[in-house]
Amino acid sequence: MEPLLKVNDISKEFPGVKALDHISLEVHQGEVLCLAGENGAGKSTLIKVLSGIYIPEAGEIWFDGKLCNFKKPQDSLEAGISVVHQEHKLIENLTVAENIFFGRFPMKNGLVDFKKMYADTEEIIEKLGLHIQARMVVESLTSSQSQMVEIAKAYSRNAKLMILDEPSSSITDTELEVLLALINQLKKEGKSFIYITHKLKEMFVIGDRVVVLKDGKKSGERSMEGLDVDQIVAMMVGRDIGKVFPPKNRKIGKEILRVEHLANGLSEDISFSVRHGEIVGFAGLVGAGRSEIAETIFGYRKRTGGKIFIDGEEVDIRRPKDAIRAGIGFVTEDRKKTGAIQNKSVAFNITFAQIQSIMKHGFLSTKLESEITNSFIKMLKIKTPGIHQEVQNLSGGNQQKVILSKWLMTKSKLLICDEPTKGIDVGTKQEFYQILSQLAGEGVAIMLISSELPEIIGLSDRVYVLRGGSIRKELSGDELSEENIADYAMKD
Amino acid sequence: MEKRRIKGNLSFLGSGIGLLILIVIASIVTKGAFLSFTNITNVLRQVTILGFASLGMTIVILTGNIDLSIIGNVSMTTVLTAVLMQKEFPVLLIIVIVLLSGSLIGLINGLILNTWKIESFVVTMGMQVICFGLALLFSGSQTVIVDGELLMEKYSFFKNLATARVLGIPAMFLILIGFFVLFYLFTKKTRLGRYIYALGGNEEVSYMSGVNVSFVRASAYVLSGACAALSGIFMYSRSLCGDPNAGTALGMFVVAAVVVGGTKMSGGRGSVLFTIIGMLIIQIINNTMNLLGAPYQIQQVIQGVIILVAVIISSSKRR
Repeated sequence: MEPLLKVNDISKEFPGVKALDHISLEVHQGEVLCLAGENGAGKSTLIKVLSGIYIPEAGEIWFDGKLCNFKKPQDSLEAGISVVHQEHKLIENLTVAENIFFGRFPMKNGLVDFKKMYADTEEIIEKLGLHIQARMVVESLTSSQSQMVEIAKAYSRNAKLMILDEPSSSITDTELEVLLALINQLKKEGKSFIYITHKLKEMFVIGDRVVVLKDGKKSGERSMEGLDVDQIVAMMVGRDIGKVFPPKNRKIGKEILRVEHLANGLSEDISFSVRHGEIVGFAGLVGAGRSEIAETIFGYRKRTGGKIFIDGEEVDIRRPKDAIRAGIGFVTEDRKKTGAIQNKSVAFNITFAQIQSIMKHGFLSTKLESEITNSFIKMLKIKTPGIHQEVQNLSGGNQQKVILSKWLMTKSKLLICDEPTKGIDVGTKQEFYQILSQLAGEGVAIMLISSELPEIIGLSDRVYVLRGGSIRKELSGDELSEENIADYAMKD
Repeated sequence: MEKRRIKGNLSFLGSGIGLLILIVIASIVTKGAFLSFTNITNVLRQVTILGFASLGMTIVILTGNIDLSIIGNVSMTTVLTAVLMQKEFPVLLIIVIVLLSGSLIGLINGLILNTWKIESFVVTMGMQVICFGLALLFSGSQTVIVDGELLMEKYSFFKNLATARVLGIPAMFLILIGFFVLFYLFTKKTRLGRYIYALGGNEEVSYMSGVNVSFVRASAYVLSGACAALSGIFMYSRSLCGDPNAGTALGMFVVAAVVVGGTKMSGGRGSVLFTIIGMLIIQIINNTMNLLGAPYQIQQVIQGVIILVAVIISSSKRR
């Protein structure tokens, strides 16, 4: 049978980079093709070519038996290709129905026929078995629900091929199961998918075949059957990464942080402690209140009650400045919003929270700045053309390293890392694990908030499991298992 | 050589080359009149008033805000200078009072913006109206003229400020350049200067990195107010009268000078040095049109076009 999508020898070049180098692939009807590859391997470029945002220099795209010549996103949409983006592109202040039918509202006598629109939306929602309502405003939805709306939108457009760009990066594991079930359902209806993810395990659950990209070239194409994780990773990075997590044989010191009865509006009574050289995981579903606790400790969110002790002494942290002075660093979840100043250089960002260290005779010293920056670039293996490169031009993983450097420069004794490896490729992730483990080995205490259970289990000495704004369980040693954590995180 | 460096130098080089081309064009279309010693001197004096105002504006724009109160502040401070002279205050005291008044306007702008989440152009627009009102109030709604004898003797300082030369170059222009160098060092070499860039780059990250963002914002506005006051003092020296409408002549040129230079309206990117080129470009265009005797109405249209073009160049495309 003719494949639904046939990509023939596509190339796309950017100044200095061959983003796509003679890529060919096929997607058949009712098939889920997984697309794997490290950041910068060319996955995003390929999606943009398929969705009409980029025009390739060479090669052809056949879709549904026709040779396509996408010039703009509209062309690709009309042909039957829909992309569900990593960062959802819905209009926040409109309802679910308005979003689904945006740009093609049903009309009656020259006015929008809202009655029909809402009725049609309810029908789609029911058909897909979604737990949302047509009249809900999108900004009130969770990340996972917004994603469902995007899928519903694609479905209502009769999309034959849906491209899901890292659908699991902003949702919890339970929500992921719902998503995967939905994909299976649509698959049976004959819909096809291109599924992009950094989480290899998902590929085995949902994928029929996998295409691996590396440096713009296709480095592998296999059926998922009989394949294992190591083989995919080997295709991605061209090397066997061996054991992912470093061993936990660190020396743990005395208590550095103690939190007593902390309240912040979302959580009412949070108490826990972290010791020098210890990595403490904070597991739970998105919305369990983990990030909020971190923000409260760092003085970014208002503390409405409770006490915070650093090295046994109570500290009154009212703003981030106080927290930094107390020796706390915070690698936040959103690197664009709260992590790095995107239009400023690597050097600017790394030295930013500790400018006094690069002052000489009362003025900033360019020499000191470049020395210190270069030492961090070397230490954390930050890939950048130079210290004056703007952070926005670096890949996510390298941006994250810049942010981490900033907090190492302030000599943080306690480092809070909120989803530190979100959207980062496998290779860099592993580097991060090594770095965190090494820091802990040097006596830094680390609070690790992560939605990836293997990460939490692989790195943490102890884990607090949260649900609904409170700590449900403390786990350590042999109790640390995905099943255990999932149990306390989800079940009542 | 690294990308950012090259890019930064390119935009600086770009406006620099633009300035040179403009000078050549101005010389040709005015048949050399532009290059006369008298005219060049005139341009350099004229640009000083615009220059101080644009210097302050650059600082505020770097923080990602805008200060539309500057032109009102110039009016207010130029009137204040004249009024205080009428009341025979000592020279030094006049300068101090005028600088403090200008800075106070900036401080109020900053405090309002620190307390409420309002777009800075709305707040400073309101402040502009207040300043123009105060200028009228101080002046009794008419141009303030200081008694000739008093001016010649006690206040010869203000008179000489505009006429003095060093090696043939107007002293006021040299003072302006001195301030530019000072502000350049301030923005590039001090901690507060870096915070100013950071605030324009990303306020949340700045706050999360321990920066007192309220202080930084207020400082930028205070500096802007002080610069407006300096502009007001030079405005007086040059015209030798306290005209309550003096600031209106600067209009949008203050913003245009900054943007033409290459500093981005979105904040965090640019440099006070760029503004030197920007203000010269604006001033030379105005001067050339005057030399050519272009009708006022046409001048207005052309000036408007220049401002639009400048803003367009400084912005990225929507898609």
